[in-house]
Amino acid sequence: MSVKAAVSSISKTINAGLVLSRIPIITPELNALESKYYQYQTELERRLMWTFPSYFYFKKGTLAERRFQSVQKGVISKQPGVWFPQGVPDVKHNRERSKKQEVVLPTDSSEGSNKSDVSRPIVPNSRTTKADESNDITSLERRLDRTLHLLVKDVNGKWILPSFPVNTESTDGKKGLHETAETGLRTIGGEDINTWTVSNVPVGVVQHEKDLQFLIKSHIVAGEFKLQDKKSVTEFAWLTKDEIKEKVDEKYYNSIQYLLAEQ
Amino acid sequence: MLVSGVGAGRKNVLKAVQPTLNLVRGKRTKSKGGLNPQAQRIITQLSVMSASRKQPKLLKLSREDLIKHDLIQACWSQYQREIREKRTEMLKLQYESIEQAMNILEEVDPELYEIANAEEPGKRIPLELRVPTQNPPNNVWYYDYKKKD
Amino acid sequence: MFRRGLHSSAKFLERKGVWSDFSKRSKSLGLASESVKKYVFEGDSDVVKRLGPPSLKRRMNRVKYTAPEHIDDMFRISYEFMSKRAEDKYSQLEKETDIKVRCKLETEAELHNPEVLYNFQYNDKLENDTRVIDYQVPVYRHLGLKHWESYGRMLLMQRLESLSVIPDTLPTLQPKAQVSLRFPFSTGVNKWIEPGEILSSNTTSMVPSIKIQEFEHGINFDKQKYTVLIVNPDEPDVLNDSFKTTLAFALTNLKIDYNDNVVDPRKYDESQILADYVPPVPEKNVGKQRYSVWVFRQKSDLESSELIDRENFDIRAFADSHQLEPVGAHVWRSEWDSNVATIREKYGLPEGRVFHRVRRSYV
Repeated sequence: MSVKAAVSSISKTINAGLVLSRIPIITPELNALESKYYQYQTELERRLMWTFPSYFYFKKGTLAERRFQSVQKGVISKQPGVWFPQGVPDVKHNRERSKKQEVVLPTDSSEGSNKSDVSRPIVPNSRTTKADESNDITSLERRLDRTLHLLVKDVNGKWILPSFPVNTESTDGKKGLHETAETGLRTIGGEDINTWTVSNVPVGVVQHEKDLQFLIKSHIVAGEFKLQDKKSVTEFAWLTKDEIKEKVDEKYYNSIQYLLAEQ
Repeated sequence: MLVSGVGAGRKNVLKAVQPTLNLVRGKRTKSKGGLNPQAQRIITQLSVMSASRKQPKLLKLSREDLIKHDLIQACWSQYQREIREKRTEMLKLQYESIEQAMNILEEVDPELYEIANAEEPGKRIPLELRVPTQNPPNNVWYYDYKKKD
Repeated sequence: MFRRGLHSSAKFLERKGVWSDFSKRSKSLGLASESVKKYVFEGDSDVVKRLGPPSLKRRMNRVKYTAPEHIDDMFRISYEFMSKRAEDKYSQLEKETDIKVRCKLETEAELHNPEVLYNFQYNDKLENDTRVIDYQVPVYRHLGLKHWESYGRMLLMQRLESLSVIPDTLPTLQPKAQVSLRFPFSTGVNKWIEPGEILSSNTTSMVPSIKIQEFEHGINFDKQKYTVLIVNPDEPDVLNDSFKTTLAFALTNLKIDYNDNVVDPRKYDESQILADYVPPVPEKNVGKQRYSVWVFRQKSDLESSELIDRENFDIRAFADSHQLEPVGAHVWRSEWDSNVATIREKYGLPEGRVFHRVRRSYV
């Protein structure tokens, strides 16, 4: 880093900014290429799979074996004097060796199953939430597959990363940037918030005309950001990288864009 | 100790293989043909691990399909390379950004620089941070966090 | 059925991107066979599926064949993805003027084109048909080089070293051009010779044709000329109790290009022959003699006025004095057989000596 740029910034005030993120809760959506590729590879793998050793799992002559065998699709076996245009069948252990094997598990259709039963079918939760539907940008439950970052609207009506002035005049030991940022966050967002600061080292600096904003990276682990008063901050939002690009002005975005998570 | 342990193990195996005399009414004591049930069981267990009679036929692709497959693999590695390069580029920018921030901080306020540069022994990633899953949990977010004193 | 066929052919026509545009690109970058093309790009239509892959010759095998599932879906996406990358390369190419960089970009743009790969993999690379493998096109040169490096070049170097052709003739070789050798069919061996093979005197009785395949980008073939020397470093020199090198064949000022590069009697005239071909006629009991073929790039035209001492030929001095850069080599071995006498008679050579285990003092 050039000394010149640093010297010119010596008289500026120092602010501690905070890049507070909520890490993704669900895995990212696959794009068309990925999902097709996985599908293709799965099919290849199935074709090259060893035959399922059903004789190991189902003992011969048991009811379980009968039930299993009854739901399997039959295979065409070799017959003497029959012409097979698709090639002579080569069946071993109930599997046509030149094709993939489809193992069908018998569904448990006994009457005693109810909601509390351990073997009830698993219904996965939806990947979209209420907050997504109502587009509530203050909710932590939106856009579960993406990293969200906390953005606040300052008194000038500009969206910025939360920023707190550092007390440089105190005599009995200064507070570090990370402490300033953490206490600052709790003064505007309430005490009941659990964050984890990655490091004391600032991840970046945004140079304005009058002040320097050193950015501290942090994750929200639990709790909620509740706006305490609307003196210094009027609004807040949890936004993805793309949304941040639309909200903040371009110069500011370019100086912080590589600190924001893509996914 | 060790030797006797091995001996006991062998004895157990022999016991498992050799039929023991169980006098149960109606139970077949002589197997119909060939092996006794215990030996048959061991053979079944071993055959699960062996490849014989379980391997599929060799997958033979026609020339055209082989070319298609090659293109698919080339496309996938290109796609992965692009992702990798983008990520490396981001990491590079982030590293440079940290370096720049620390250099400026050293100039403007050496005391804050010292604090920022101090070692942080025993720092761990919090256990509460979840690994992303395919579907969200029943409680998406834990809100009832109270500040600990 | 008809409607489906129509639908899929519509899909085929939609295929766009640089790889389907032949207005600026060489025709050899596309598949020649319509049926193969149809199978590659419309593999999931019912008609094509029923007919099976055209590369399988027997109808029964075609009917039996099943393609991997979802391969065509994935292929279509991959094709789009990769042709978009190729498009970027072509747009970079438009601004570029440096010939080497242009060739590199052109290679990269076509390297994953399935049609190119099909053409190269399943056609004769040595006796190339310029409609499918055109070495004028950078990507085929690149593929050719990779193919040669993967086996042919290693084999050549192994033979040259284990037969001590290097350093017995020239100190070493950095192979740049693929040199292949074959003798006229009338001599009985109808194939390209593998380096180091032992050939009968009948086979080698006529002038070989030598193929010099260049892979380097940006060679100016209007100026670049080649010299070919065939030397035998194993001629016994009884007086000095040693061996001497004789020159079997020498050609100079040869003009070739990327595709038309088989040097046979039609390719040169009297003025380009430095030394006429003398077939290998090893004497009895001298053992196997190495006939090493050397191909040089010339710095300038070679004046053939001076007399060459064929019997005591110094290939190193010759190469140095004419500023010849060795780019390729080949070697075969010959030994005495019952046919040697006939060959000697045909070429008007003296009757050969017979060597014995114990040297007799004739001289």
